[in-house]
Amino acid sequence: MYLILICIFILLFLLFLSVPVASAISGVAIIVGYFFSDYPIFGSLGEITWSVSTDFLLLSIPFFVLLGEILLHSGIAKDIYFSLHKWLSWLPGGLLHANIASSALFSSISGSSVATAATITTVAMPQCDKYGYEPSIFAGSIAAGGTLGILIPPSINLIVYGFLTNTSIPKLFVAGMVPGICMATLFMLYILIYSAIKKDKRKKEEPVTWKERFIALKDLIPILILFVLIMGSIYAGFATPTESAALGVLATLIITYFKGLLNFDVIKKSIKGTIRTTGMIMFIIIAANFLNFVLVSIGLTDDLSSFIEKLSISKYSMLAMVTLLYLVLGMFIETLSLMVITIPIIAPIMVTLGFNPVWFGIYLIILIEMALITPPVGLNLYVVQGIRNKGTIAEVMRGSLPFVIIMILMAILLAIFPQIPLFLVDYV
Amino acid sequence: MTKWLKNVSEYLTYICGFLLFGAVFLISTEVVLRKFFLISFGGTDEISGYILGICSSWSLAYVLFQKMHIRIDILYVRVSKKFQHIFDIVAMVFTLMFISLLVYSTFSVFYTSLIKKSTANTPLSTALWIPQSIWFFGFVFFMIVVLVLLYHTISSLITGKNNQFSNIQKDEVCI
Repeated sequence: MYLILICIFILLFLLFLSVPVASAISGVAIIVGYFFSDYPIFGSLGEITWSVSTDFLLLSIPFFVLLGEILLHSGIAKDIYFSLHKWLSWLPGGLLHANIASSALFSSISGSSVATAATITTVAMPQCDKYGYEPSIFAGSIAAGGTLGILIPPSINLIVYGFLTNTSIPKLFVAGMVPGICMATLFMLYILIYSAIKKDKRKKEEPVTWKERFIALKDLIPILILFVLIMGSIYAGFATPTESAALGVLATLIITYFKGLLNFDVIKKSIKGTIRTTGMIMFIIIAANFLNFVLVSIGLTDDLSSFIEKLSISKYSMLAMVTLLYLVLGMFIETLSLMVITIPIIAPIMVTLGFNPVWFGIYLIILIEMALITPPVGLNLYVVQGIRNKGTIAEVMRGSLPFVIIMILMAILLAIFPQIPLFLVDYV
Repeated sequence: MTKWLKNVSEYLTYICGFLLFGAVFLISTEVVLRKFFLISFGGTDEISGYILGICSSWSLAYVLFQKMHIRIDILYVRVSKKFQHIFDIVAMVFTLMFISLLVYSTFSVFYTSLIKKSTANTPLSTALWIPQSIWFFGFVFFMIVVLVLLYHTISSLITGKNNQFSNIQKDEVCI
């Protein structure tokens, strides 16, 4: 058991020395493999790296990133925001709803919550001043809205979870749908109540006619087509997740072409953004795969599982401990790294304890979403603050806090009613 | 030298991008043909897998130049410039350790395939050394870049001057 503590200690030590995450993970693998393995363990590194870096499932990651980048650089994301603005501005809380809804829609398709937060902040922040919204909740709603995308399919984080735990991606995708929509609804409900109590002091916006609303609908069509195409092709059974992602990219190219938004510059920027993200993710996955291989080879993963079993604690107290662990780690460690470091060790334990792997995936993603907006290391907070470029980061943090509480509430709901994500899975 | 390497890493990025678009068209065509005409040319997933492999290794240097390899900077931002350089060196040394091990072991994968004339266990029966050599090249290039940037960081520790390659940049991380 002391070995696992050594691993954790080395890893945290390297991370806090700001060693790049991939190198820190592999550092642990090298140190542990070198000192604690009875046979040469590094001989297989080449083979396992080859098989992970040519894995057809993982190819869906660059595809989904590429799709999002094209939407982002071609400006389709902006249209979504203003279209939803027209539909939702009459509600108490007005634009705040558009923040949540457009973040949810756009980030689900682009698969990246940080890119979403960046895009929506750029478009939305000027409106905040124009109509006199309270800056903290305005910024908070964007930061929180952006996190919804990693739960609502298609989601890169769910693909990573599925890859690491060998869980079916289509099942995970369909399981993420209901909790994702639930959470978006809860967010909007909170805004409604908050604005009703606070008595909106903002300026009246220009009234929107129904005609304008219906014209604005056409800006939502591209994203709906993409969603239906990607999810439809998976569930109609004629495409794997990677193939559906490829179809999605192709459809995005066609849509941007016919909207006259496709040009060389868009392609160039999209390629750069995609390769940057892909390289970063793949390097971490390669390292995590290596560490995982070392840990399994020296029998640590099994030891840990049997140790937990011997402890004979109830599955729900274990769940509470894991939740606490993610809450704390999530404050300090960036989300993707947090996932690849912890999932190979924690997911098997939870499954042994009797949790459904699909359910646990969804539960975990909600915890990860929280990590995106909990200080001091909450990427979305910094992205929103970086772009709005005035006020303090504390304002954004204060504005996101209620949404963190809603997420905790959602996690508790999932624990009490595990059917919420699972009831649709049975139909897949 | 560094500038040249940076430019090369950017060209490699564009090549990766075009390969990715290639994979998109290849896979889409395959899906459409399979669905509507019941034709399958087979081997699409294999070739696209190689493309991912190439993108994974060729992109590493570019990611480093863009400061996108994620680093946790809680402590980093609170220490003096001198310690930041030391942190940078530690970071680079660990990266170098990993990439050297990767270069060594991916070379043996490629070399074994070449010697044994291994072919993929698929209808295409690709000679594996071809994609593996391209893949291997990416790691070598990354190792060279890491070495050069390590040299820069060490020299800036000694001279006390800044260099633009090793500081942490945290915005624009995309997931």
